[in-house]
Amino acid sequence: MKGYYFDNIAATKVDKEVIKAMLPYFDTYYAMPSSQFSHQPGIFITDKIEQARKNIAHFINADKDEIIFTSGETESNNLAIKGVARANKKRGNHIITVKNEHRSVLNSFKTLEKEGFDVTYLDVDGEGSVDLQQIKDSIRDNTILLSVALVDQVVGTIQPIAEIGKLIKEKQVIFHTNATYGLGYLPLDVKKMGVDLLTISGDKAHAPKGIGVLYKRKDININRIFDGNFNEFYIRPGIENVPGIIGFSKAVDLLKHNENTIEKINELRDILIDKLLTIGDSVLNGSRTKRVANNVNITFYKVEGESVMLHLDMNGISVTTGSACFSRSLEPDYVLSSMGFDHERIHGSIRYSLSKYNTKEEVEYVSEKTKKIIKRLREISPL
Amino acid sequence: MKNQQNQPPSLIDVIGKSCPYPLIEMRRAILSANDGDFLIIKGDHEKSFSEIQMGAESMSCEIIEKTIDKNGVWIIKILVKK
Repeated sequence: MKGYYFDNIAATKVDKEVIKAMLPYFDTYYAMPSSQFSHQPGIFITDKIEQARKNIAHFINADKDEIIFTSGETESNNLAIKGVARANKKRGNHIITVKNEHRSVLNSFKTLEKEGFDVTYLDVDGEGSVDLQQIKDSIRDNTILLSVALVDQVVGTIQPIAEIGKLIKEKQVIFHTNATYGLGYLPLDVKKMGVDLLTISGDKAHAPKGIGVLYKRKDININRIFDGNFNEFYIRPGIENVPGIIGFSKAVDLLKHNENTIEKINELRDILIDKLLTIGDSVLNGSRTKRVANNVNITFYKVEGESVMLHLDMNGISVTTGSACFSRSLEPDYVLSSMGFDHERIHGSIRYSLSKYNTKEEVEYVSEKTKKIIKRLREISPL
Repeated sequence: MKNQQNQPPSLIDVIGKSCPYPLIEMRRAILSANDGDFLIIKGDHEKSFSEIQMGAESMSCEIIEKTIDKNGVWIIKILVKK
């Protein structure tokens, strides 16, 4: 059966050029980077890592010494939030984030809460947007950290990061953004965005799993969260994931000048949304206009999201649902809950996420198949 | 791989399990089965009776037999085609 992969927010196909760039770093150039003081293969590897660091830094308008390689989104967020809050505790103990953030952000804040930090969890509106005035009002004299994602992973709402950056410029608040779900779709310029810390992850942008970056502005104090050796400016110990770093750098190369690709994905997204909304009793979740190019999230009422997802899968279509039965906690998706949605709207939600590899023919097939499945499910098991 | 040995059908017992688990377990069984295998799915969740048939057909399987007794226990026999 042909596969129709529409779960690209979870993971993307690694680009062939990325694989090609990585391969020599498994069997030819495999020395440990820290061995640069011992032997020439170590020097070679260190030089390649530094080139990759420079390339990624340039991509987000940062300096190369501001790029810390990590294992991905979760580690970058943990390091940014815990590392910075703990290092700056003397200045204050109030920290702020948003209720619809990625689990790695929210759970880092919860850990800090247990350590004595005072946390404000900001609300979002029905489209998943934060309110600038609410951010402004929540900042106190003892606020040291604010974390707001550029794009959320469930409905793809784009937050006004640059505006927030301007809003808090005069305050002594360190600003972190998880830009993982905007990488490849939105311009990432840390200076224009006004952020001090930025997370990106390779697996969402056609690089392999297990490689991420934390951008940390030079003068921001941070504590390491792992103990070990002196790697990554003494901030992130452990042998560097050399093939991953090379692959991420190549993936970033492929994201440069990709306006046509984004336009194509935007177009596919809009076609898919329009076609799916012709199904009766359906509603788009998230914003129509402030929406990342690859996200489609729709609730089909009077059917169970998990049933729709399973039947799509049995037809070769990979998607995901916010329905409770598929979360380990058996609770409905917290991001959709934070938007004020009732149980029925969350329960029937399906997320389709696109990439450069999806085609118009696939979108046609997926929308037609969805229509048939919803129709039949409503006939055989009406809610 | 074709089932050459006329093995007896595998039983997938989903009695007491509600949606979506009967469907999930049938999907797993079909993926592990060989072409020509027979599977018997036995359950009592009312909605799943129809959904199992719909799912099996989507996965190119043939419904050979289906019964439902007065207590709501249903049995569906399917032929796996790959």
